[in-house]
Amino acid sequence: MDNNELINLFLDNNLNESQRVEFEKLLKTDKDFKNSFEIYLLAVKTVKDIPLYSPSDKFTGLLMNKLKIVKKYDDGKFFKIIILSFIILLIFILAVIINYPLTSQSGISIIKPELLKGINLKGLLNYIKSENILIILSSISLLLLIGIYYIQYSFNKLKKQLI
Amino acid sequence: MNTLSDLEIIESVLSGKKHNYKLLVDRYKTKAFSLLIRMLKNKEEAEEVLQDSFIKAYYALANFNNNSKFSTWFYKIVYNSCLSHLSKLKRRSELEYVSIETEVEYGKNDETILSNLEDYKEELYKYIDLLPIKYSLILILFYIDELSINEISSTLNLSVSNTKVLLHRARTDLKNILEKHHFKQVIYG
Repeated sequence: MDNNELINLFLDNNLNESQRVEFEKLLKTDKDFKNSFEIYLLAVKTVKDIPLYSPSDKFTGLLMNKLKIVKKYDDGKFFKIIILSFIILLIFILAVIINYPLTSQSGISIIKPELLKGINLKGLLNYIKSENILIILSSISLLLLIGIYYIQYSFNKLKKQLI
Repeated sequence: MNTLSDLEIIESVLSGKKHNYKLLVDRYKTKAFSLLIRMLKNKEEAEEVLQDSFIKAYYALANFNNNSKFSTWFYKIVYNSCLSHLSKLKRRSELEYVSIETEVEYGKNDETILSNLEDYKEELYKYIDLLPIKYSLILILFYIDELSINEISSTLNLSVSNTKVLLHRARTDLKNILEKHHFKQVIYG
């Protein structure tokens, strides 16, 4: 077996019994082998002492920031909830409008006739005073939520571009 | 100093404490970055690939198999991300063309006497950078990151026997460099 191979097996801790005996014998008797072994040890020490490089100081901060942004883009849970609420609200309003004659006949008025005739100040005041205030507030909240979402979305997009 | 194990950190991240991922980033960024610097030879590219690797690891954390070490799994992501990056730049051959058949010439015997030990060390590190990338990669993974032969073979998609051959070849080449340039005499006196 080649001396280099024997030393490499020793360094891998993979010598079998006969190889170990040969290795120890060569180390005691063969000067070139001993010299070669010492240079191998130096090579190993050199690798262990090799300088490590660090990424820039802001690396971790930027990465964590990016992970949050990516997460928001990926999930879009907030956006999905808004869309779903909007669709539910639309269905609710449509259902009320379609059933308007039935509800007015039965005396359960949810939408006042003024709304369907067109919005004027008197009609609007009557409308606000009515029980339909719930629908108005829901719609305003929804618009606000969509507005906040888009402000946040634009802000994140701008931040990502800056990064 | 944080004493949580890699596995404990991963479990806490998966259970909702996402900010704990920072602990893993801080633990592995320097070693992985050093590895990438040697593979890409460019600081900006290395940082970009490292960031990409951490993002990929974060989203794949739920698929991490507890039976293996996080370091092995993560270095595999780093290595593959680096290969993809080199492919994009059409520089993949820098890594791929080094096989167990490769013979490398590291220059003629150097008779230059440098003035002190520090100069010699600087010179020595330059020679390590002359090693084929796969050689220096295997040496670093084995001696600095303390990965086993099996773990290195899994990280670099090599067979165990090829990994052993490459490790032996890398060590012997480095020993030949030291011999050629009389580093032993200077360091040991």
